[in-house]
Amino acid sequence: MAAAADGDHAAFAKLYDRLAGPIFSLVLRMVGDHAEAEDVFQEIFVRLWKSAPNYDGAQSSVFSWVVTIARGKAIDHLRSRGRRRQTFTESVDEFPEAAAASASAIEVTDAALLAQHHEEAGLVRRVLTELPGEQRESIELAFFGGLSHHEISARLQQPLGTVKARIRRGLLRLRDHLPGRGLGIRQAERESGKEAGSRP
Amino acid sequence: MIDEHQQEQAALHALGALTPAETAAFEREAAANPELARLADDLRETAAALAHTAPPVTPPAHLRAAVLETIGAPIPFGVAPRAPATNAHAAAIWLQSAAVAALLILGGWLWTDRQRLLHENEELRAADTLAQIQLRILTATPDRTTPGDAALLWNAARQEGRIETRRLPVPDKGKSYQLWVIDAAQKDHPINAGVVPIDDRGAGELRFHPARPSAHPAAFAISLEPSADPALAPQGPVLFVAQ
Repeated sequence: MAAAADGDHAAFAKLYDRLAGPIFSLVLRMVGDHAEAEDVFQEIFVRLWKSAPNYDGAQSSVFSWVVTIARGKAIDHLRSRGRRRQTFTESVDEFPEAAAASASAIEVTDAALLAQHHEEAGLVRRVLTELPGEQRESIELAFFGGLSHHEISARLQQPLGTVKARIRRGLLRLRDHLPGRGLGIRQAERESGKEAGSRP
Repeated sequence: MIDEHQQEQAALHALGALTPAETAAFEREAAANPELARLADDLRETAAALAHTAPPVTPPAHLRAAVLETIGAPIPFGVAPRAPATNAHAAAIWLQSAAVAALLILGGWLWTDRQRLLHENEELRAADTLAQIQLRILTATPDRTTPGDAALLWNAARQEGRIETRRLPVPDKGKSYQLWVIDAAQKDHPINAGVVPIDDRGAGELRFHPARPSAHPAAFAISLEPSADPALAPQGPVLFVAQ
């Protein structure tokens, strides 16, 4: 990350290879349209390149920093087109075609990292599915739907306090069941000594 | 000591679910409270991990070249970035390559009976032009995250398709899975494509003809409906969708 921040294109390409899969999957799930997801995805990585010097490894893992930027871009996109999943038709319109891009492949050479991601993904999914349904629903509406707690309350027709409590309990429980911070990429950063991406 | 309200704010902050004013207020508070700041950091990392639960999709290879070209990186010989995708452009590309992509996608589809599906695809291809056949993978809607998989083949020329499911939850008594075709020109009027029969392992198969022709199916969806009252329009929750 530090090398990418210093303008090293090769380092940034490596960063891309590590992050492209999970970030594209996230964006596609959020915006629900493959072509739009591609546009948003490109904007995200260009933004990462420009913002890399601002990354502070003492505050967050690279992964969580990138996810924050990616979600911000995706939410901006959703708001700009003014579409939200509220009706049957909108739900259908916006839902991602998860396999649409599977025909093509990026060049990822770090098989161990990929395997680790798969393992982590399985763990997170498992822990998430173990949450009570109402907690999981509220968390997913916030994370993937980009909804505020007020919007979730209105959407689920539940009191605001109930929604807040569900999110609090659910996220704390997730934290307690997921080992370590940052999962995977942060761990990989630590092991490879790359966590010194903190900028002076 | 952090109270429940602060925990709530930290959790909502981690998910980006606070309003801008609430976000600013929380960040001011966290800046003055190291314990709260640590909790906020932890929950932000936890929230980021949720990205792993999105259905895994590999980004198209041309995006890598496009990104690297945009930032001014040297592009290896033979790797040609495409212009940033516009909706119409990407849609056209998708339409042109859908049938070919179908076979490639199918290669990654880990169904035990995928060979049978491939065979059928080959048969359909033989009868029609390649572009008339599409493979659609249905994915659980984020609101429901219903387990299981579903995929369908659609032959636009014949106005017929075939859907297969596996590991879907067995519906409660009196409920059934109903398939819908959403035509691009009539999105508010989904077309009933029949009930998908499910066995006790959640496996199902249906060869279907929509109740009305659909010149341009924008999407296919499965909802959960009362069995005894075949729905003319979706009443129940949408569980799976494919565009």
